[in-house]
Amino acid sequence: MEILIDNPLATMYGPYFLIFFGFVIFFAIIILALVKTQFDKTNNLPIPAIPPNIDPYEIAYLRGGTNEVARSVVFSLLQKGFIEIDNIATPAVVKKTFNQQDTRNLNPIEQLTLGWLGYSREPKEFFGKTGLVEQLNVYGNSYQGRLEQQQMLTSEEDRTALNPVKWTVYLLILGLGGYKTLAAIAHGNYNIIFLVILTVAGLLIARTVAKMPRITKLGKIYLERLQTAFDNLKYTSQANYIQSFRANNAPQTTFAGVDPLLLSVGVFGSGILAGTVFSGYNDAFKKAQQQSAAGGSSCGSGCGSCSAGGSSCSSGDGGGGSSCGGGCGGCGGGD
Amino acid sequence: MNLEKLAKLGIGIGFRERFRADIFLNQDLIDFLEITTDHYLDANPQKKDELKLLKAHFPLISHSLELSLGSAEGIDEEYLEKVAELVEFVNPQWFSDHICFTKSGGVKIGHLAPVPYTKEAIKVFVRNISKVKQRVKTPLILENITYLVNFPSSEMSEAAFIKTILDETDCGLLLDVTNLYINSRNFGFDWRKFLDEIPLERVVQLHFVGSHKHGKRLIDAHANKTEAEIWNVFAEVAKRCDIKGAILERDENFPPFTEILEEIKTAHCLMKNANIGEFSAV
Repeated sequence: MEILIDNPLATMYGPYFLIFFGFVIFFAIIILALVKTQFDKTNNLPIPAIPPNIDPYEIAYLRGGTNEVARSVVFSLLQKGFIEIDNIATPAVVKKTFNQQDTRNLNPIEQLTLGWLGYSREPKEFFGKTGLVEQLNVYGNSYQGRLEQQQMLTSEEDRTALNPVKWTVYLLILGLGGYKTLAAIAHGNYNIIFLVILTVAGLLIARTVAKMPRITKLGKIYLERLQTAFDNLKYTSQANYIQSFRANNAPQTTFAGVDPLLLSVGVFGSGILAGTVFSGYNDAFKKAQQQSAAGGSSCGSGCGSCSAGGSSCSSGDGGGGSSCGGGCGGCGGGD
Repeated sequence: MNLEKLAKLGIGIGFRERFRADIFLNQDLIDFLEITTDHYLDANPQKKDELKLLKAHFPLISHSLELSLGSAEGIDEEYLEKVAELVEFVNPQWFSDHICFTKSGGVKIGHLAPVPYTKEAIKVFVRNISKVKQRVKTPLILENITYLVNFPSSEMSEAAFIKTILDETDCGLLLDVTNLYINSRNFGFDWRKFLDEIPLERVVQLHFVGSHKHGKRLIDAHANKTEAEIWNVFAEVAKRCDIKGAILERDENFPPFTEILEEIKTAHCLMKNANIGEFSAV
């Protein structure tokens, strides 16, 4: 048994071990990162064509999960005049308008949202555990399935496939760090703070590196294509809604059955509404997102328009479901 | 060149950046796109991405502006090389340029300038086109342009000039029906007779758009809705030729895209030789 605490590794001079351990962590993480990139070879697949009957909510889902779908649906109802946002109230309130039009023209996801809203809701309720996002999960799951099938979103199978490598790296770091800690204590050395710090830091870095991106390489390329295709739409679709003009709640001319501004919100995020008559929507939901995140929600705060530039959105390690999204109202970074 | 073997592409529009979103949302109504070659030569990464995107969704035809086939000094080989590379990338059914010159003494004149209709000019075209065809194997088709003067030195009619060039170079014709109508109005000739004189079996593609009235003259501004008189020219050509494709060219005064789609629908009807009678002037 003495060999366990009396061997070159156990008796290695502390600073030397830290250097050695640092190298082990570094190379283990490099290997982990390389293996992870090998799991996603979707960039070699043919890029799906942009369909003419494009669904803005599906694009919103691809970009940021159910949170983004919720934002887009709420925006659509706001634009169509079914709801309004009272930003004067503290906190802001989303409420139905007095003169409700015929809701039969709304699509099912919009009808569900309007039904959930009741008379009024605070924006933070949208992202809570019993909120709209939860209600919309039925649509989210459908989008998830379809997009996984098209290999634009990372599937649960792909995530679990990385587990053996991931856990090997975790165990290596934890095992080596833990073993040296015990050996040091056994030798009466209690100055192990740097060792503990290095072990914890190594584990945290490995955990971050091991996270599979929510959107695959193919999904990112597809999003970039969408953003290239509809780049000019984000300017032209705002034209009727710039604040200097009279507010116009009626949807502008639609084409191919898709409202241009809604499609722009789906593709680029609600940040494009800044400076329009709908900027109050952005303000209300930005606060709600911050409150929701502060309250421990699993929602990420990835920016709506970040995805093209290499989204940092990633799902939790096997948990949290669609934990990405939220959007910060188009800022370019996190909230 | 066996023009009959070229695929029928249908009705499309000249791609302009501001149409991009509308084009993608109405893909099922637009059969193909014509890109302006010059917009993608020495292109930045965004334009290259745009071209890849378009290529992935539509059949493309490239239409260049600066080959200057009528320049006595010959073809700019550097420009030809770039055009050739782009055509190879786009891989269109055919590519096109104009029966004109745009460079003189190495200077770009920024305009599609007509040449006198002489045997000497034909020799220049034949020589230049031969050089282009040596480098680019894709079929080349030539477009008729508008002009503001009839050169006194011309030895033949425009139709005879075009016919001779097409026969001697074995090229197809991109018949711009708007240009034909404008020239016929400005110089008082019958466009039907023009059609009688040109080799209609060589007409591969059409261009169409409305004309623009400037004083007593019509000009080709690409800024107006196609008028009834031009639709009549289109319809007549569609009846008499086996057209492979037609492109709406709109560059200015952009209307709502629904108006563009209406024009495409009208062109579709005419291409199918629908019995819609003669258009009446609005």
